[in-house]
Amino acid sequence: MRISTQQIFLSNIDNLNSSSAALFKTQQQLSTGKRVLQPSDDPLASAQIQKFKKEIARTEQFSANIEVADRRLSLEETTIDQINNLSIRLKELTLQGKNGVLSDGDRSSIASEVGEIVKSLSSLMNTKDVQGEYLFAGNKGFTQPYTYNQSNGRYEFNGDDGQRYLQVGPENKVASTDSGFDIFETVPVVPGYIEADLTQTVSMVSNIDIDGGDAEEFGEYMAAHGPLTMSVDAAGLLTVTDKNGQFVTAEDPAVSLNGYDLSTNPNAPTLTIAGVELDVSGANEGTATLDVFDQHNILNTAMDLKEQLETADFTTESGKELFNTKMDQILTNLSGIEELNISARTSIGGRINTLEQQLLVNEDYILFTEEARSSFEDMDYNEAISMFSLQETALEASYASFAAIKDLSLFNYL
Amino acid sequence: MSSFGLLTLGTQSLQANQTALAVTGQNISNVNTEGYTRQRPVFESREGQGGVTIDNIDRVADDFLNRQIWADSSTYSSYDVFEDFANELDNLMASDVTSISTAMDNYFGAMQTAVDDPVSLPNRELFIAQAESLTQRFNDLDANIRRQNETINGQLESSVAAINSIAQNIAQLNDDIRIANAAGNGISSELLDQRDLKLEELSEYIGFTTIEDGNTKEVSVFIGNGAPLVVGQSANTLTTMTSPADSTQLNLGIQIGSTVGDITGQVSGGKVGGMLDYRDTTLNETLDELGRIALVFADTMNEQHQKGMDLNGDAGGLMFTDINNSTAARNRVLAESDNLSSASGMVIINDVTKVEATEYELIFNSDDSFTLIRGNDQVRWDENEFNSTGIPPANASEVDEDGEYYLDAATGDLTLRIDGFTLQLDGATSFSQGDKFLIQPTRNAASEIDTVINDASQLALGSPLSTSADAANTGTGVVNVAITDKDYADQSAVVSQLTPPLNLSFLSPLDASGAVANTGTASNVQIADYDTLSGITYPVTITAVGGAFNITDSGSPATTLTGVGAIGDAELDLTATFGFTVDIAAVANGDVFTIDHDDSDVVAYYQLTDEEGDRQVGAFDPSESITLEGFEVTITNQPNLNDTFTIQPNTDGVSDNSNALLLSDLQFVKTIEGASYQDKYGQTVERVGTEAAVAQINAQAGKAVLDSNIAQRSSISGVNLDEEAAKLVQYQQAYQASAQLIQVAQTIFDTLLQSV
Repeated sequence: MRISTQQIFLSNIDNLNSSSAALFKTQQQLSTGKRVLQPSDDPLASAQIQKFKKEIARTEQFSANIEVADRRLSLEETTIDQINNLSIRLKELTLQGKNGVLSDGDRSSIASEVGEIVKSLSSLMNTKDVQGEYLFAGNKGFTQPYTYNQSNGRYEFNGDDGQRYLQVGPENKVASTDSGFDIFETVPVVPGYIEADLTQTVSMVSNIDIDGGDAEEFGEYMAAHGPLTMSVDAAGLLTVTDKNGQFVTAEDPAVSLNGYDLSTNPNAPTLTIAGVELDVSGANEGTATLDVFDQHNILNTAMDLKEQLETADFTTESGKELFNTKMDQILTNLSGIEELNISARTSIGGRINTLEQQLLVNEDYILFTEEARSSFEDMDYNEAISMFSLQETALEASYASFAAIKDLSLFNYL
Repeated sequence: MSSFGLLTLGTQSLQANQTALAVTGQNISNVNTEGYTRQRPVFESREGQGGVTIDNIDRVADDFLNRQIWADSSTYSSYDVFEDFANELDNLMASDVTSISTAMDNYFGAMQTAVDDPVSLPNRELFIAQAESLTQRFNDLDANIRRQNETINGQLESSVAAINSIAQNIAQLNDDIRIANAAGNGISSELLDQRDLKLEELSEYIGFTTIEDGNTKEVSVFIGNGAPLVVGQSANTLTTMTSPADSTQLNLGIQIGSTVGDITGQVSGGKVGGMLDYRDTTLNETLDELGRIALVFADTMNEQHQKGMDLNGDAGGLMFTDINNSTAARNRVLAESDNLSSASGMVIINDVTKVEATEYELIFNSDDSFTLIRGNDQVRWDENEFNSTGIPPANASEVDEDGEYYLDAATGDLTLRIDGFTLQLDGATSFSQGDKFLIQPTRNAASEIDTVINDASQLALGSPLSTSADAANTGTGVVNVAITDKDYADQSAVVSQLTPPLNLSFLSPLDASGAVANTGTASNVQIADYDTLSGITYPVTITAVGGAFNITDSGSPATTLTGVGAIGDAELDLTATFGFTVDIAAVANGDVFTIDHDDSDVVAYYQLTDEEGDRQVGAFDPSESITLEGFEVTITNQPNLNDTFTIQPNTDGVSDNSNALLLSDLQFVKTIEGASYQDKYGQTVERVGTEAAVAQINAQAGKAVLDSNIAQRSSISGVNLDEEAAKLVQYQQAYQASAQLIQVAQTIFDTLLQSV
């Protein structure tokens, strides 16, 4: 092939240009450690790199959420743990206070300790986080969840049952808050600790025997039908209606209690309703309400305890009996509170555990994604260094050959 | 032969070789001249020992190769300029500093911190700052892409100037060549070289074809679909002009005589072709796609945000500018400047998820006939292809579904709905044939998006409704409420709608029971109409009287029905008034039946009641949500019969983050053609990247072909100094030999003279 002189020089210049450009590029890649310096270097790989970076950013956000949730739940856990300690102390004090040999002075000193516990409880249950948000107010974070109502002497819950969820994994949301409604208010009725709550205008029911019957059945029945309204009219006839106004059917004797003549009761004066035995007398005209003893939150239970200890009337037999009943109810209530506290701590502990697991998963995911991103974006140094030497050799060869070629001219020999 | 003849022969040979030496000298001196074609003396022997002459100096050129190089050069330049622009765009879109995706990561990241702690004002401020930075990023990227458009406009102008000057040169050279040709002196090689060089220069700017006139040797140059740029000795002028449809773009025109024809769509190849191609495909498509992402993002975020409740307990407002604000709506329609009718228009987006990232062209064929062409797939619709329902809307307001239109030919008003948007053209006069409108539903959205929320407490992170379970509930049921309509607050004010707070309770199955004295039986109560049933208070008493039935419920006032059915019927259908049917058998007058919820523990129905006493009853189905006006209630797991729940306004619910969670979920919801915002952006970057990569490969391939052809030409037409050196020696020797001839002739002559 015929080569023109211009061609020789131009192609040499071209070669030198492209060799040194390639060398410069490799040098840049080596010094930055990146294979793709700007998207146009490898448009397709850079789209992938974008995706991986997005994934990583998102997973790092999940991990940040986990830290927030973890901090919050740990604070809750500590608070609830302290409340549990106070609840145990309350139980001890109740048992101690129930002891009949105590003097009024002994009881009043126990009552004052209970008073101190109430103060601690109230401050624990109204705990705020660093933002000034109440920990246990549900969605109403700026509303103090427990306030004391002077008029009825009770602590009232002002929050709601809202729970806040945080995204901690692509498909994993974990509750980062717990409302006082769920961990203080919904005190469960503990089977074996069911107490009846009886309010009567005149003496009508003289004894309720739950333990002799089936407490659990009673609890379930009352949940569906309670409270029951009992009335005895002037003729001594007993009528019992449930909350829907339906007449209640007794089990023994098996009869609808709609104007039932107690005097004809073969088991008189004992009736069996929903598994419990009631000793009912038709002597006095009046009404009574029967329900399962309403479980109170720990604050109000402590208030009850304090009140009972302060107002116990040991001068009469009925006063003693009432005190004992009330103290039993308080013990029952405290058992429910303990159970609720355990389940709350279990739930929080479970979530903290989930968060820790998820954190590991997220870290692994970030690691894998980083590796994938790196394989697209980062330089393989071995390859790059050998490439660099190769290009360097090529450029040197170009220089050398050009130096040789430039002297080749026939004119030199003429 | 006379010695005189020998002298003549020698002289001639001397002259011929001198010329040959001169040609070699010309070749040597032009070794570095661009476009120079080496020349070769053609020796011709004269008959009868007449010696030699140089009749012709050959120009060693391959015309076919030249034409090939022009074509290759315009292809290469076209890909090269395309690649430059595409790379710039790819770098803009994909680099961390300008990428929308990175800004969205920051935006959603900031949203997460607000989710973590919705009462924290600093977190909310940070979120708003990130929202502002995101919309700014949209605006900046859009502006940067549009800057490419301006660059293209500028380069078009300078290219057109260059093309015009080259065309003038070619016309002038044509004239010189024609004159030289007509004079019969032969055309100088240098003129042809210059013309070829100009044509090669032209090929870098624009693709063209040439026709050479066999007689005059003039070359005519045509661009596009045969538009004459140079005809013989005259050149036509290329001009740039503002596109009649889109004032931001320059079009290419050619002025022939006094008329200017638009040849934008026909031109290909060269820088100009490459830029126009890039503008039409990549640039505008990317703007449309980016606009669509901005549009969908703003709308879906706004929609969800408006379903929320802010820190002050108020309903959420707009986070970003309303996508259908009047400026934006008007900017989406461009009327061609030479339209006869004066109609202006606007485009309202109805369903942002259906909008396509493309532009549409609406052309009127007459005052009541039009054709709509969609840009991305070139689908065409004529007016008779609309109204797929077969019922044409009677007025503009009835156009409420895609594929419907209403046209008032007399007033020149058109309302047309397609692909999730409604086009409204409002004219003063009727439309005329040839009226054109360009519809760009998404083109400007990325430049128009803006953050309007500025008060951190107005971020609606909570839900306006919350649910709570009764403390005494024994079942596992969980109730959730979701706002389905951003106008929820207005909806619930509608009379007879259930207005929160609502009480949710559950009812056991309906059962029929009869009095002891009855003859007949009633059984199998089937609910046929829950709406009717909701107005009924149980128990319902059915009494058989006079061969028919009287029915009354326990409401106050009671719902009653008398003289219904016949006692002999197998079924009593009370759907219209009581909402249920009941099977009856062997009923006699005086029979009394009671329909009431049975005393089982089975949960068969849910019941919602509000404080005004409105009630809604429905079948309990945990897999289905209960739809109410503006919100829906979902019950999961299994509630027990006596469980109750409350759905109430979320008063003071400052710690609620449920709407923020829904907002943050939007990051992964497939809102744009089955892709999330960032996925779609990623796809767009990928597409630009692919186009850049393809242009890169094409440009490299084009360069290789061009280089090889140039090498080929250089190999044929280029000067090789070694060769010329050899030729120099060759001609010099021939010259010396010729001189010897003269000397011989002289010697002979002298010998003759001496011998005389």
